[in-house]
Amino acid sequence: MIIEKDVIRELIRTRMVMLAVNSKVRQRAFKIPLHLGLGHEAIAVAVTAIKEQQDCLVLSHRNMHYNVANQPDPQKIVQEYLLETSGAGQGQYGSMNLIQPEEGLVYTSSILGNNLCVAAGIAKGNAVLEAGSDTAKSATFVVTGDGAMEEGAFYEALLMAKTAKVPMIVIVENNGWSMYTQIHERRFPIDLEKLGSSLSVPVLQLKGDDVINYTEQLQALRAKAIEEQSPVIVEVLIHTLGDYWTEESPGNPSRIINYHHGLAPKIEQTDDPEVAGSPQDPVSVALQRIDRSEFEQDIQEIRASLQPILADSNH
Amino acid sequence: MSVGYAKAINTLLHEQLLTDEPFVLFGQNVSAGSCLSGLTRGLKTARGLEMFNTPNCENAMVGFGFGLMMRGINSAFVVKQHDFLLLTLDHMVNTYNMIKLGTAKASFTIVCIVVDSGYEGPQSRLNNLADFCSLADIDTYSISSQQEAEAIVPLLKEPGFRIIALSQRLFRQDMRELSGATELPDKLFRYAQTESNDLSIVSFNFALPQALALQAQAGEQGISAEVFSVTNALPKNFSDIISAAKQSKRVVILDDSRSVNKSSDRLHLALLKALPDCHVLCYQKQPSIEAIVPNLDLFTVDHTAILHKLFA
Repeated sequence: MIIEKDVIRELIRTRMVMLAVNSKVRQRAFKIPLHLGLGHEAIAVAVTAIKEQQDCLVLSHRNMHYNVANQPDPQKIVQEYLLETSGAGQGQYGSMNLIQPEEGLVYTSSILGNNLCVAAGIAKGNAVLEAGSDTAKSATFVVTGDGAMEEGAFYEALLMAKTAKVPMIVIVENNGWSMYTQIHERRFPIDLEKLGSSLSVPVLQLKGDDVINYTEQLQALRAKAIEEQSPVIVEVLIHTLGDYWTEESPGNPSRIINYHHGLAPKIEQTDDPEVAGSPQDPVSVALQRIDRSEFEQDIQEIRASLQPILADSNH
Repeated sequence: MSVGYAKAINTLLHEQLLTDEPFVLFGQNVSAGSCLSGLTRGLKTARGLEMFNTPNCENAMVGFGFGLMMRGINSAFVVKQHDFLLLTLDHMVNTYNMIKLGTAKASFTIVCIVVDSGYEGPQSRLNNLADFCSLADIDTYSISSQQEAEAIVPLLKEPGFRIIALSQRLFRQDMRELSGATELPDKLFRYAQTESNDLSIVSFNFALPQALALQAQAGEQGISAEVFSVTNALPKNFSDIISAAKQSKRVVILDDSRSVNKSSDRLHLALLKALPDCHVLCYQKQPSIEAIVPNLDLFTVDHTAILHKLFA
């Protein structure tokens, strides 16, 4: 059963951990490349909330929000980024390939489209294991983006999953960016609904950054994928927080910049979970459901738990 | 009674897969049409085996196989042409790297037919196993004899990832069952009637027929010759071959692959370093524009000239 307050608390925690990581990036604490998911928390927390123990989650290079949402101890995440053996991946995976198999995060790829093909195989493997038994059926979630879905592997993996009849839930995090180009700068629009329909793959679009709404819809979609033994696509419209406009100069018009990886330079706060304070911030959206005052103690506790990370000047 | 190459391997596949243990075998036309010239015919009757024909999505299929592996399910992807595996290099390298960090529990095998039968023209003729597999140090084995097939096909059930390569040229021939066969470490095979010999012939890739023909002609001239068949595309050490060469003092290396980075070159260098007085001849396929146009594409060696150079 989904408890709204618990889910929103997790949303706040996920946000605050990433803000702490951002501050460490500002201090140049890490050698490895990092991809923050500020603004992406709603879908990560929703998936984590409805994921059953037998489900698998397959990630892409921008996975921090999922790894944080699935790891109650933020120190383990930061230690992994510092490549310490005490890290969540024993220092072997860094950020772009971080997995936590004991939490169901079984594979992560930093190559666009790669993880979709593997996820189809993982879903099939689970189906083979479950065949003829009374164990609860699983679903495999795989996260991709509006850039990665341009890869041929996206289509191939959908076709393969449909052919193999496996419940694979493809989450397309659509923030409009692929590195430094927006969709209109790099390609013709893709009608996911039509692409999905060409393979009889249901497509659902989520927008509005409401983590509770996402949780409810994903739960229903998971059940559908399992019942129909089919892949399904969820396109989530996301605004990555922290982009900014450059100053206009002679010959150089002002341009919006998406920082893609590393530091979110315009986000300087470390201990307040709300960033944009607008409908584009899933934390602000959530705090319209339940007033922030209900979470002040949680925020204090999370803040306290992050102090060792923020105070560590050795890293 | 002689058996065709494809039939012999089909029989071994059937034996391996006749088990209640789950195994997934997939690929284009594995249970349709000619079933890859008989290679996968009848397999779907084996217990525990799930077999299905796939769409033409080689990249997805190799990722799929690795995904099955991660969930502890043994599987094999059977593919007609080595060329199509070029589409899968991301998974061969990047996904396999994740497997190497310890996320795999089962076996994943790619059974790949190398189209070396000639007349294909500029495409559909890739025969570069050593180059290909060196990208991620993939265990890769070529099969040219019954003994090799009996040792290599069971790898299908061994945990880990590998490629088993078959020769389309050999599909048109009976499977060679050779006397005097010995299996050595690293799936190296020795075929000889005597312990010590006047000549050591080493075949790489699918050059075993040429090596056996040279052995036979040597025998007609009273020259005893042993043949080593290097089935591993990336052999790790050549100590058995070097020991034999110490005795024979004459080595002929035959390699019919088109790899630029050839394992036969590594053997050649190793012999030059270890046995500077050993007479070594090396015959390999040479790249050329003429080789790319449709042609017989047969690896030919002049046995008479070789034996004359070594024994005249």
